[in-house]
Amino acid sequence: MNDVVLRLEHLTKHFAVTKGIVLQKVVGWVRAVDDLNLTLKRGETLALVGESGCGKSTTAKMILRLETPTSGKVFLDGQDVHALAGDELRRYRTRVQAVFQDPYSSLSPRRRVRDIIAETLIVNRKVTSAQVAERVQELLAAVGLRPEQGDLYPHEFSGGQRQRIAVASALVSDPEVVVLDEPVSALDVSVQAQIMNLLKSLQERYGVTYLLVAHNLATVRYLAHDVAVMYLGEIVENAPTEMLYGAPLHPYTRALFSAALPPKPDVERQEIVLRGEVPSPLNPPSGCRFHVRCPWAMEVCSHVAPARLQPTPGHVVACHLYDSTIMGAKNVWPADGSMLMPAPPAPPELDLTEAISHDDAVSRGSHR
Amino acid sequence: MHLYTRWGITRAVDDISFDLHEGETLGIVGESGCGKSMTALTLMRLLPKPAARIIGGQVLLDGDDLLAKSEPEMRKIRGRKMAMILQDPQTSLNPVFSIETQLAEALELRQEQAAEPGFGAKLRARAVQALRMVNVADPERRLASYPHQLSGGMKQRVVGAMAIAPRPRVLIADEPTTALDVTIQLQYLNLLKRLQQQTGVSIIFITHDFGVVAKMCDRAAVFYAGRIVEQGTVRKLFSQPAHPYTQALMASVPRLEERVEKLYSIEGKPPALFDLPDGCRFAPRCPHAFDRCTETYPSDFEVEPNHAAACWLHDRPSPPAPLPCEGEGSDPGLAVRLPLSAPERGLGGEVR
Repeated sequence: MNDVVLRLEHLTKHFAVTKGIVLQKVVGWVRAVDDLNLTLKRGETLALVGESGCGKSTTAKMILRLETPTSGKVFLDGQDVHALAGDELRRYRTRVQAVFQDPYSSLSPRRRVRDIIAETLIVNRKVTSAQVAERVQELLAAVGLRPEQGDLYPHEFSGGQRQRIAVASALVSDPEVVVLDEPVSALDVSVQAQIMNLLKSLQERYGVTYLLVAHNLATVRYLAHDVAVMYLGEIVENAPTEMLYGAPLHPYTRALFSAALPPKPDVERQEIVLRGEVPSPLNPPSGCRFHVRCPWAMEVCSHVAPARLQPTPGHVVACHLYDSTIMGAKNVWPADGSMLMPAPPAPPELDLTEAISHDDAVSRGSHR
Repeated sequence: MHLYTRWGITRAVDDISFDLHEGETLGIVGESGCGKSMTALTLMRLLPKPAARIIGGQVLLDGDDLLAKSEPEMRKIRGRKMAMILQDPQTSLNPVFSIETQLAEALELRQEQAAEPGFGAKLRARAVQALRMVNVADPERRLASYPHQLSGGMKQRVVGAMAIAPRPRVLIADEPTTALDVTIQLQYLNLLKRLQQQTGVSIIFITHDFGVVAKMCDRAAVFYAGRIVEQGTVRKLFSQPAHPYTQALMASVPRLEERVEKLYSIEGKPPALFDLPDGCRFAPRCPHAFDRCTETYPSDFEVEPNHAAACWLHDRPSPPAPLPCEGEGSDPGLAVRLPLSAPERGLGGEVR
């Protein structure tokens, strides 16, 4: 069951930054995705996690053949996806589908739901209209919509229902892989749970493989079997979900976990506040790309890119802290996450006397 | 003392009351369309005109009723006594003016003596200081930047600086971190907390994220379909949610700490605000609903001190203590007070 359905090998996408209008000169490269290696197991979910600009959506687009890789390959069942053409390509379009974040812009407002769902079948597969109608009916039921709702237009549905329609239209051609690009983040909390449950039950029912692009770690834990954490176009950590959530290893992953606020007050947790913001992928930092924000950065991090290590089997992390050739025999990083971080610099004090004008200083005094 | 905001015939915010104490953070939680932002706009008297009308009620800022103020009086309050941070910093900043110009405008609110010599330099120094306050690196250089040159997190800091620099009494933060990345969100939330400790400003924090409420707020009010269904201290609200809606909402949030096989999900969707049911607005989706729920809107019942829920399940023989929950002797800085609902209210209410 767990054979590999989709494989990414050394997948790289660099966007040229050009100057000039007629004679365009390349002045730089945005390294959106750099040397990505991933495998998706059939019937399971792989989550790509990271902040905006980390390259997760570009990766998804290359899988959907909406972007051409600069180098590297995508394989679906051993076939090089970007070498497909003609009928093969048309078939590929039915085998890989997508559900996007915003169900308000991903559905055509001028078409009936029935036609939206049927589109992939009609365009790409030779099927009779009776077969199409039957399949659409089946999918409407599968996503929890009534048959007569197929005759309505998207504007007659709420956000959650629209996302159900998007899911139905992605699954209608019985695809092997569905790319879910932030499928619930535009929805309300109570509706998110509905859609996540739906996605989970449909995976069990149809055996479809999901590539989940998400930033919410709680959502990922609920849906994903494996997780890859991306930072500035690179995978910094990759592991089965429970292994990663049990002991996140990479400093960036730890920072992400610390930034995911638990819906409970008074939870004891180590708060890792990162310095600054994600640097521009136009000129990514040398060495480890995370070193400028990393609270644990060492001298070596600024000039040597870390190797992909496996401190525990199956748990891949790209960080010098786990490299015994650099760290020597001392194990500074216990796997239970108990390592303390250096204290952050004290924030500048606000000079109250300057900031308050005179009249207000008087009235404010009375409130204190 | 009624506060009804009516947007067309939509009862966007209906019969709500809460207090905000000095230096406190009150969370307003709910799903989209539940009236969170309309409440904020009501407090600032920035409702879209003429569609929205305040039907009744009071907004008391230090005992002063804001709803009775004239527009010129309100302009003196906005920005100075009450400031607001919106979700999208892009819309709060003017793209054609530099950060310095925009910060100076906010700072100038405090000063009427603009003609004074040396005022420009003083203002500039204040602007630098305001940026430093919100941890903007290299503030002198940043002053010359335009909004498009800044990242989302940086823009939101600038908006924060503009809001906090005139030293308002109340800061309304309407989903200030929703548009930010998680690591930047954490930076920003810590920044807001520090600013609050330093200035003693009271914050109304509007969000849909229970994690943010748990981190930021002292007390919280849960909104559903334009009404407050539950309010209390954050600790009590999270440990013992009393209203079925709060319980369901919390159960439907996926957990980070453990793997669950199936999430609880609330079926259906909130009622349309122009077609509200007679009784409890959550009754059609509520697993505990009984006859009374569909007939009359429940009163607020005090579940325990400082914790009230509008649900008939909590109707006990002893007379329920009315809202709002008072703080320990201190006078609320901002109070929005309304009585319990009367059955004949609603569409029959007079438009003032």
